[in-house]
Amino acid sequence: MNSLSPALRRARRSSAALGEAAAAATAAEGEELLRVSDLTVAFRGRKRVIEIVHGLDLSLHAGRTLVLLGESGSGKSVTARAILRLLGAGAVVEGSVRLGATELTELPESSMGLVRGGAVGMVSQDPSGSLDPLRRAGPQIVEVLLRHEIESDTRRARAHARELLSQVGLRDPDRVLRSYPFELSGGMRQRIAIAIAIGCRPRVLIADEPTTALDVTVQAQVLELFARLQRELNLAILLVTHDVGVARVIGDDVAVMYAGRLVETGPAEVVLTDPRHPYTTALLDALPLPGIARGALRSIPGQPPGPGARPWEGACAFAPRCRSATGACTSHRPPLSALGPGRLTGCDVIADGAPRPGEDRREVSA
Amino acid sequence: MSVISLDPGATLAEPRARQLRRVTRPPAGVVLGGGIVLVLVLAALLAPVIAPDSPTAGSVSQRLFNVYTIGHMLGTDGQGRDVLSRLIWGARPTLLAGVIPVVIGGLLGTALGMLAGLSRSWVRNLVMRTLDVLFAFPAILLAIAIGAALGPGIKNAIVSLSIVLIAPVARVAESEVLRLRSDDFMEAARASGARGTTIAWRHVVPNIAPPLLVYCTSLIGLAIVYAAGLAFLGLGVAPPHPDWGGMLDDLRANVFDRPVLSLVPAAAIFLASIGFNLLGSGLRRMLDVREREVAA
Amino acid sequence: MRPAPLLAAEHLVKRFANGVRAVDDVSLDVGAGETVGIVGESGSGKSTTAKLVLRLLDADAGTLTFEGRDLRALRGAALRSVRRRLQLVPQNPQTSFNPRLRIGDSIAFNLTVHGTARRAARARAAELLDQVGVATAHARKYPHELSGGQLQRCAIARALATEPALVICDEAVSSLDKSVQAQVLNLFAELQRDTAIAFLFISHDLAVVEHVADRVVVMQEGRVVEEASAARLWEHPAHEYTRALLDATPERQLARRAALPAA
Repeated sequence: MNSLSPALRRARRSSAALGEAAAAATAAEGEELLRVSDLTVAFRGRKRVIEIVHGLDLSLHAGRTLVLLGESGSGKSVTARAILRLLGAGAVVEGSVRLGATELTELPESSMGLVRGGAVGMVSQDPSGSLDPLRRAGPQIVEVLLRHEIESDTRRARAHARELLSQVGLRDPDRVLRSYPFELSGGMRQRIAIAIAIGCRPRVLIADEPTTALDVTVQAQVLELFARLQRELNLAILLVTHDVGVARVIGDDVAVMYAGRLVETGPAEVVLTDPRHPYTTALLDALPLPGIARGALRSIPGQPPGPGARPWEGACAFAPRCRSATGACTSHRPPLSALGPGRLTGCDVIADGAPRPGEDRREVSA
Repeated sequence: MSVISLDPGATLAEPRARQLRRVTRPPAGVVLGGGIVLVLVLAALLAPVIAPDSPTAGSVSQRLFNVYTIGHMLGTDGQGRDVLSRLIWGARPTLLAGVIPVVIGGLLGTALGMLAGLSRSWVRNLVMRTLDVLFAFPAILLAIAIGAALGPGIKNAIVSLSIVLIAPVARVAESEVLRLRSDDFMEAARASGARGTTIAWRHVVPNIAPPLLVYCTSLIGLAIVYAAGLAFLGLGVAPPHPDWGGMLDDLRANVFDRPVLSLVPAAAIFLASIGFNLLGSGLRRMLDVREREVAA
Repeated sequence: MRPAPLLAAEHLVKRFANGVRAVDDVSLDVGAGETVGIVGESGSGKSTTAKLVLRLLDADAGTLTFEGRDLRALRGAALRSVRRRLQLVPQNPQTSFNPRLRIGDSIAFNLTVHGTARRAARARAAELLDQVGVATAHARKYPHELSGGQLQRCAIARALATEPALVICDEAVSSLDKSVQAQVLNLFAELQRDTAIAFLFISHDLAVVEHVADRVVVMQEGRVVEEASAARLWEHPAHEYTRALLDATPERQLARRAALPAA
């Protein structure tokens, strides 16, 4: 919370250029592993095709965590699933997803099956969903290691599984290997899911709300685990979350989604302390942080437009709820424009550094 | 007749049907099944008008005409009676024996299922375990046993089928209620200070009615087959009145010399049962129309 | 000496069939017009405590006094009538409304069961919706037609219908998006200011509880481990578990990471 205090914000702003330059340098160090370009996802409804995600660009670098931040209905999970081609027959996916030199959208399904859980590891929100409840944990890990040909025989796979469980911080791996999923806590199950995900030596890890179902203390531990594994294995992580706190703790970069589009991207530390899109600002201002008087939270009025009701072109989707909206916002949609290296915003009203609408509320409410 | 099943699991697997209001264009199954059912109902109602001949009187000189005989579209039976007319008249006992047991068994089963689902565990166990005993017998055997004990006649056939259908309906009703019980709104209703009976009537009935209606529609198809089975064994409508199961029995002797003719009543039973099944499963899909929500 | 509290729970115990004490010797009280928060993780017994207070579950031991009456002894009509004064806002707005009843009828139901005529109940439901900031036209809609935030306001309207003295909010804002959560938290603040209703506010989210509550009770494994004013708890946590909860907040995590020597 200290990092959100107005004084610090102002200080950040003055040194923002420095910070951005430094962040961009780090970004350049990591090799680009996964690139999503102009991704559009639509679903065939009964009457028409409804677009859920529109023209999305993302880039994942080795050794960096990109947080895809958005609220329910923003299309963040759909994006993650579209990258892995997990959306099923009702979805129409356009655009390009390149894993190194491989175009994933053109791979035959059989090869895609090896990419999933192979070069690209996955961790889902519900750890019990990814584990077979009727089988012990050990054989499930062994099976994955054998299927992806990480190990050639069962005995070595078992040893490897044991090693993986210690790596994800499970203290008694032998007992865990023998346990059924229901005998383990949610946090332990999520660690197993992570162990399976990293077991096949992925370069990219996609995690969809991996800590949402966990208790807060466990959540903190699992986030620390992600950070450690990322350092140790030089992983590129795409972490989907609705939780600004999670984004701040784990994110190197953040991409904020609203109503199916990116609205702001950049280094997490910068975007989440000095946002340049009114939606990001409003999202941060809505948090009940200590020191804010009761009833003085700045909520965002109204609700996001539902699927099918989004103005893809010709207007900003956030304009009806935006405190900074001008007449122009309902007649044109500004493209994502660069503010600095790796820093993009989809708003041209406050991007130029005009006073942010949420500024100085602490003083007013206190 | 593998399409029909007493297995309540078939409906249990479906999510709870929602919002009658949002019914839009009916699926093909409903149109086809509804069409068959409509023909059946019209035949039963208009039998005296549309039947070309008497269903009971025949002449020996006209025995066993094959199908497509002029004047006897579907041929004649061993006593020279017009099969088409007997089929049309036979729609009456078929419908009665199909619908009435489902209504009676459905209401009793629903009541028992709700009682079990909403009561303390010992009441639930008592009711459901008793029904399990009933359910343990193959339904058709149970129907035959009860029918045999009561004696022939359509009334007794209806009674025996009603009893047979109580257990499966009660099972479906109970599981629907149990699923509701864990829903938050039931807890909210209890916390509101409402009586148990008020909650049952206002919150439980509207939610379990649609899936039960669907299930019972499919059960009519089953009841028709069972009723035909009872009649085939002589436990249905008393001769000479026409009944599809009885007709099947009559023509069975001629299965080698008049194979097509002997299959006519079987085909009628099959179609009627399919009709109700299609209608039932189609309704389930119609009642289950939900907006395709897209998870984000 | 303090006046007798609105709700007083003393030494509540609830064992589950497997012998586990879900609630183990829990005592807490809520004064009229006060907001008390219960914070804890899954398995802490906080929701079970709520159910015991609401008499949705029966306690195995302990006493429960509400408005001077022995709540545990109430049966039948007496229990039903006391429920007017003791209401619930459940966690999940999407499932806490009967999918086959219109929103207005669901709210009116809480009044008609206590003898209000249907027409008057409907009119009151519309007033309540207006009070919580939902367009009265939504009274005619079905739950699936409204968003989570709107529905949670409706759930609050439903809880307020019978003019309760105490409203128990069981994770009432946890399933909402943060931007919508802020709307609902502000609504709670407004209600606290404008009415004399007391709230028992249960959440796993320390920040939310700190924001709404006057006093906070921290629960762990069925027991109360700490009780303090919200501000004091945040600044000077006494119990180890409270500190662990605080340390898990993003702010403290970031602070810890910043304190580490750069790699």
